[in-house]
Amino acid sequence: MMSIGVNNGLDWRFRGQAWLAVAMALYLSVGGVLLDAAAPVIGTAAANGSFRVDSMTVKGNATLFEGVTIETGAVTSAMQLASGARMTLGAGSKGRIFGDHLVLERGQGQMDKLSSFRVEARGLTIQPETGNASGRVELSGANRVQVAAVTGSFRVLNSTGLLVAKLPEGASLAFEPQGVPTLTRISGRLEIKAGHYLLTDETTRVTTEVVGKDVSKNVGQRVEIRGAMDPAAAPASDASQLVREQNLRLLAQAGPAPAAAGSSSSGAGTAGASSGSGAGAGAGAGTGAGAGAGTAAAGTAAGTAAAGGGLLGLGVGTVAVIGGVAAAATVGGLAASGSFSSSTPVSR
Amino acid sequence: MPFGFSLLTLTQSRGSPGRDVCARAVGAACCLLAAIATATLAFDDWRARSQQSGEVLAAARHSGNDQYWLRLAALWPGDDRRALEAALADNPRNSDAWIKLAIAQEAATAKQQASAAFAQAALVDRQFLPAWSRANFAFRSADLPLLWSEGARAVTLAFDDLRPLLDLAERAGAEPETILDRWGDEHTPGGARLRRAYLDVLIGGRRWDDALLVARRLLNHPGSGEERTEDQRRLFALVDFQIDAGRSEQAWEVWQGLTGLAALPLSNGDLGHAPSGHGFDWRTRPSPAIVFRWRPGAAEFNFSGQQEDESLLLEQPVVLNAAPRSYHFSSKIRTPGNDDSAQASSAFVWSLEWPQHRPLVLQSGVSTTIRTPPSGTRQIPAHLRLLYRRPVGAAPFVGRLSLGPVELTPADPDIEATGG
Repeated sequence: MMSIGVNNGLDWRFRGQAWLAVAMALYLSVGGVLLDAAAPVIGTAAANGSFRVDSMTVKGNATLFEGVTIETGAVTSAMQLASGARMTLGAGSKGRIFGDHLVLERGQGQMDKLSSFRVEARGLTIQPETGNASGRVELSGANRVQVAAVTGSFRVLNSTGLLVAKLPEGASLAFEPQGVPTLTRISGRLEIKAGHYLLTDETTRVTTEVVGKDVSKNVGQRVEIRGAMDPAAAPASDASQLVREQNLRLLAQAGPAPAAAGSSSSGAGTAGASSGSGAGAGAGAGTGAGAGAGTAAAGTAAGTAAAGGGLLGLGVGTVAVIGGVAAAATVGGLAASGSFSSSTPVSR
Repeated sequence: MPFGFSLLTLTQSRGSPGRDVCARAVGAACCLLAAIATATLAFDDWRARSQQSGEVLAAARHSGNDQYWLRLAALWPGDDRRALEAALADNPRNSDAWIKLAIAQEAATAKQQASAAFAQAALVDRQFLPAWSRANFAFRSADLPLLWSEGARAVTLAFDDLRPLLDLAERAGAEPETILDRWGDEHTPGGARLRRAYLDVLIGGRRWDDALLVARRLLNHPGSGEERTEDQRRLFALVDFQIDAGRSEQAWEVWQGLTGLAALPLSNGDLGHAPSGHGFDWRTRPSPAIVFRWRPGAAEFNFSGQQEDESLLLEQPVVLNAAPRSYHFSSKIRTPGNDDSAQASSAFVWSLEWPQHRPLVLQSGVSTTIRTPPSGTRQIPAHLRLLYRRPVGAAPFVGRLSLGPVELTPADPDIEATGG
């Protein structure tokens, strides 16, 4: 029997990854050419049982072609792409696989060694920010997408390509595209840089430029801002978008921990006073305390209601809304769960 | 009973106290060893189910269980080859490990090693999965001879869906004829299943010309028993689909092959068997107000009087030769129990409907000569329909209509058949 130590094994892992990346590139450039030009092969899929490829039941393993739909049953299915990316679809999952992206339609997927590969789910695009990233994406409920960055960091974009969240290694967030025009809602410490007021949201880590009459007097404060995104305006260089403040609320100075594996930003919005434009948001961030009495203008109220209505279960106090997508840190989410369920037999 | 307990029981019946003590000690030691071994196995199994690769690795190293190595390989994505090699060192007949190793080797562009591993899997396990896996490898390696040979083996061994294999062959650019020759040959075990599966694929893809090729094979080499019934079911469906797609000539070819009926335009004209509702046989249109009943040589319709003023009673798709051909048409219609049978019969007309021409209305019970309209094609698809049309001013028909044999035969001396 071969002698393999744990540490030794982990060393292989890192050496192997670099080696395999080179090897897969060669495979693509040399081996791939040999393949039939009419049938672009993008990799292979394997499972300890049967799965479905384009509605056909396949046993054990299959060749993957551009755009095929993979559907797993009771067992997970691992896909090895010629690009070097590796994906595992959880049991009861479904997705359409392409050479450079996966469209997850149902269930959950784990992605390893992603560099230029992305995952699309319910209008969101999840792409690695750094090379060799690994992450998990899970669809739940009617509209929710949970994303966990296991290794490396990820960016989440909405359907128009706007950045809605950044996930550092170990972070896990739940997203719900709102489907209706929704006010942006971000929380964090207000800063000024080169004459621009910036706020990096504590949940999503997205930096936004903020303009509004209450902004300048609250620099350095921890605030929650609601407002409308101005897609036509060019934001400051450090920001991904510009938001016109409609309501600003002071928050407790001690902010929550940033979105991380198993963490909950439950401290957000526990105190403070509404100020400014008079368009107090009716939802009051779930903690009440008289903040933001329901005097919202119709548009604001509608936006807030839409946001609140779509955010059930996300933990209203922790929610950010950016680019029409609500985001919240998950408690014991995918990152905490550790792995997929699998019926892989381990005994003989 | 465990060995230790047996020994204890045995020693209890023996004489010398010294020997008893010794035997009991040996028995107890055996029990202890067995318990330790069991606990160790259970512990290894528990560790092997962990998500931590270190735990699984320890279990695999300790137990030498190839399945634990496979588990470890799954936990080390992209770096699974050494775990798989360890699994194979423990159990060289584990075809699953060979296949997984082959896939990993292939991903690492070690094509020679991958090929050898796939071959080894096929050698130690003469079942479907190694053959299917190797056929896939052959496809990815553009090794067509290997694809054909392993595919044929997979066809022989397959119990489930053959469509993925057909998909592979088609993606390799193979023509349907070639696929049928290689895998769907009547001498190939499983060939009939493949032909059937292929016909399903082609019908599903509305690839009528290719479907016709497979249909010809099925007709030329019919199976027996249940297989034959399965084939016929598909072929009847193909005829219907072809008719619906306006491919009456091709449908007619399959229909003739299926039914073996004389090459006349009308099928089951003598109403010798109950209308099947498929292909070129009679089709009825169920209606609560008109009850249809077949008896040998006749079709009967019972009218409640609640029927629509114009109702379709019976129809059949037919294929006629284009002009200048003519046909004799006749039918026998009776309205038993009706006082004015002639007047009642006037409510029933035949309509011959063909594309791009006005329908030809034929009085029931009257022998008529039909001249087919000019057409750019050799044959004309048409529909022969029996209709009820309430005459103006007449009360709705109530009672029974009995339809006897219907004839549609070539009138030209040189015509013996259509469809040929």
